Amino acid sequence: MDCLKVRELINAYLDDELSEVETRHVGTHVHECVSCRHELEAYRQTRDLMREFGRVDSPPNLAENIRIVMEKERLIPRRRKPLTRLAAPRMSNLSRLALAASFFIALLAGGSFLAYDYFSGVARDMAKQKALHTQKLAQSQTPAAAKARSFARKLESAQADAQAPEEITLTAEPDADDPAASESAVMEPAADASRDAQNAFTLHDSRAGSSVERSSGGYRPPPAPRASGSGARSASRNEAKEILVDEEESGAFDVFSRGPGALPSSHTGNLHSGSPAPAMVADSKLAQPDGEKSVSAMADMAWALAQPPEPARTRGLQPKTDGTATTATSTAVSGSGATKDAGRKKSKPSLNIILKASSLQPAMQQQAVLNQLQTQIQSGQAKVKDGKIVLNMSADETLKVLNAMNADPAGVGRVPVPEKMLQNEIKGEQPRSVTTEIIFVPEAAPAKPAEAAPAATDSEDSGK
Amino acid sequence: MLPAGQASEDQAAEDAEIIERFRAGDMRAFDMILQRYENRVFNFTLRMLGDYQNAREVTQDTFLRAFRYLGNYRGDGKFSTWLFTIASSTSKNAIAYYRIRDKYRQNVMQDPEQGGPLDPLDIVPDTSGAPENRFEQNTVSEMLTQAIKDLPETYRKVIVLKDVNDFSYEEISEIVGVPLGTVKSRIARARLLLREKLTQLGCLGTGG
Repeated sequence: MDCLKVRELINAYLDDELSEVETRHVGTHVHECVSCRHELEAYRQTRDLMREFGRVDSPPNLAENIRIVMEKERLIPRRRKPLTRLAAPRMSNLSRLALAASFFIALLAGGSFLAYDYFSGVARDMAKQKALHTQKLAQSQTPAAAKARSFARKLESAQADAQAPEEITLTAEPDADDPAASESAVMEPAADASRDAQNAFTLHDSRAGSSVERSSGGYRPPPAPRASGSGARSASRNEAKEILVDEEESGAFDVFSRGPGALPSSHTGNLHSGSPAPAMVADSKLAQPDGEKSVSAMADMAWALAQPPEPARTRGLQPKTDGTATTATSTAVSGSGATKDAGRKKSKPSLNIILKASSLQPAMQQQAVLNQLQTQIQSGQAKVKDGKIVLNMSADETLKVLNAMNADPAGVGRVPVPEKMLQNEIKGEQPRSVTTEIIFVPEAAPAKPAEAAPAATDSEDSGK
Repeated sequence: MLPAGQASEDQAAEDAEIIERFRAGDMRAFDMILQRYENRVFNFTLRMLGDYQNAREVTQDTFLRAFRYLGNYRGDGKFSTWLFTIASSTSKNAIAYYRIRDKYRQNVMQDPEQGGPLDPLDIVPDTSGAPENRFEQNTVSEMLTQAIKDLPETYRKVIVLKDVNDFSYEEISEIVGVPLGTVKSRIARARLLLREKLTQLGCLGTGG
């Protein structure tokens, strides 16, 4: 066998993939030929480097995280009780209750979680129901009520024990026009009054602890419930109303989808890393923290937790928000598409909007939008953050900017514009400043290459 | 040389059993699949994409798709090769996606706050400096990483499947879907390119 032939086969020889005959021939040749032996050694070193350094440990909880995602998307049944809604199992009951309470309060007060807007009428009914329930609890002797009361007591003593005793302030001014301390709505740009509730709202099973955010570039394990006494205190003064506006008529996809490689399924994606609350839609009739009223606040929570997992959970076609919803109101929603401006009368309010722009080329669209926003970027009103474009300006200006964006012929695709919402804000007594996050996602194409069965031959050759 | 032949047969048999149980409804079987393969799939994906964070996501996607398409797997080939076929196509799509995305992100205003998972990671060793500098700045591991990333995708794939994932030529031929002869020549070429690059970076002894 000559050197040329040997060189051809030398790697296969190294990998022990030659026939017996070939192996023998190459072996003999290499034994005698210095330069070919040299070659062999060089390839051996290369291969050994690969073997030694080429493999790394996988991220610590990769398998676990994948399983969690699959459980969450209901692909496989939950293997065990999810991390309790309240806290990690190791916590003592007492601290768990305290955490749960403060978490719940942070939810109501902080408004950083998305809750559904069930429109004033429905929410008011709910408020009534709750008030009624609270009353009953305060008077009743049922175990649940007793629990709620003892819960409140424990909470108070836990509060006393805490190193930095915090005053839990619950938001709010009860306001007839303002049924929810924090609301949000899923709205479509073509929102019209008769939109079907089923379309407009999707209910999302969000159990704290098993919530998972699928964000591109990195998977984060379910975040711990986010709250503490201090969080509650500052949060109460800083409500924000989160509104999600989405361009898509239908067809769900992961908010942070990674393009063609992403699953085309209608699985959920959480937009915020905040853990979802156990259940409740925020309600305005919350008590101030004094003795007897905190009972009712805690009773609210007990009520919330007592709600059975909602049967009306729909894996709707809309991109999901990290929502909290009650069973009672889930089917009672009738779409008007309008959202109530909840924060009008609160102090230091701001309106948070998330816009999801979808296109075939989200990266291009993002770039195009950035080009359109040059002035705003200069003045600091627009910036890029975490891969999103964030605008920070008055409602009036926001509306102008968004409309200008869409009118621009150089644009790529549309950015949804929450006209009504912004108009309402503008016309309000104290129009708030608006923080708008724009995220760019790919359209869910009907038949993506990623969906093809893996056994099908790839039409493109490049990767084969 | 390698006892890979028998070991991989045993593995295949065990996998088949696990899949059977899974089809019979034992959901925990999928856990086992995860345990058995997550590291391998991750390493494959990591080397193909060249980015740790992205690799996590894409690995997750791979398993999700595997689950979804499990109906298509009829047990006629090894489960491992089937799984890696999915890994292969998922990675390929992801690579294309990130390439387009990164190309446009180059133009994005550099915002100091902009940090986080979406940023393209690129460990580019300083090959412009003197040889001493190279060693000071980069470990062998980093140089290897860069060398692998520099390989064209076709070659990268086969050499990763071979040297990182330990598949046989036959198995690689099944995963990638090309004839055995093609696998042989691609691996030879991949090793040559790699060897040249590593020599250039100073990783290899007198490489010839």
